[in-house]
Amino acid sequence: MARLRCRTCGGVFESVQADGLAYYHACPVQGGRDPQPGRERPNRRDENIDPAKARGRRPDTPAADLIKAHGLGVEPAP
Amino acid sequence: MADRPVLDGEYAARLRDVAPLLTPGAFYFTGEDNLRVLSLNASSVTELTIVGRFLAPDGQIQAFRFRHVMFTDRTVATTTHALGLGWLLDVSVVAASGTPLLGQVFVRLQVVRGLGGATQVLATLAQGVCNAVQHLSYPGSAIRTTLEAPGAIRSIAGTDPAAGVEISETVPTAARWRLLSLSFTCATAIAIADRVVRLVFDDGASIYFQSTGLAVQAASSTFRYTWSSNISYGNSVGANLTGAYGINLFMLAGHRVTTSTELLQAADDFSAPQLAVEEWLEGA
Repeated sequence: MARLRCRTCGGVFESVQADGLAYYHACPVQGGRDPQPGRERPNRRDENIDPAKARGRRPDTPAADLIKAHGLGVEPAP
Repeated sequence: MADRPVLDGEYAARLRDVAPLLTPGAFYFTGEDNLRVLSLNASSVTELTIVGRFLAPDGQIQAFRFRHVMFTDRTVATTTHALGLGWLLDVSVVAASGTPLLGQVFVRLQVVRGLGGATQVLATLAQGVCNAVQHLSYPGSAIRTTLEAPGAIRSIAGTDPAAGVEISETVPTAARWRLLSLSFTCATAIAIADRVVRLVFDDGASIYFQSTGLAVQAASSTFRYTWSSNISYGNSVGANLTGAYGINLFMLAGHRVTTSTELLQAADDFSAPQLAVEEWLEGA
């Protein structure tokens, strides 16, 4: 389990939940007076699995190779 | 009335020899046919045990046991197991360890022709959920979809956003959520303005539901917001606000639940939201 900080949006999250399952961080849309779904921030990170990348995956494929968008990456959070 | 077809040849000879041993539902394997196990898993358990009995043409009943390694990220894992020539009498699948909730492990048992490379699916024997106690079996179990099982209840800690950034949680790939409740705090900075916090549901492109907090939040205050599908009306008591939304508000993979705050200031700070969800596996 690791506590990570997203370098794109600054959000902090636990990479593994208390029930042992992975948590998939995805950056929120850009702020403003009325944030709209389509206003994605530049270099958005989305750790959700890309189904196209997961199709036919090998058992040893690193999870990082399957995510939708890396954005600016993550770093350990204090 | 047409004559009954005459069962002849090698198969008939084998069948005559072993007929007394066949169970109802025994499935003939030609030797080219194999047992395929397909899994979808949303638990931390990584292995299934497949056990069963196979009747060989010489009348010998062989017990078999295979292992199947699952992924833990709701993506499909497939293994194919050779049984040989004869009749599959029964097969049963169970989680090898751990305590996955019912609904977190989904299995499909199929008969395929071929072992490696191109294979052809010939039959689906059973399909549904199992865990470490409740088996999926053939014969006996029905062919069910992932959505016919009870959803697994999960408590999820979301992302703690940076100051001045809204909360946003996304339904993971191959999951379906019914959001039962969501709770978080908002600490407003000293900048004078009345914030109004809304809870917004979108499909990744368009908003389909929105609920507005019942009171404004002044500067230099900390409010706790809780929204739930299990209450009829929201209320506001001091710094505790509750809000309601529809009980059957299902969210598909990629859908988001976010906050959208009027006059949110750069130093305002949301906590990490805690979500209670009912979760199903989707796909496969």
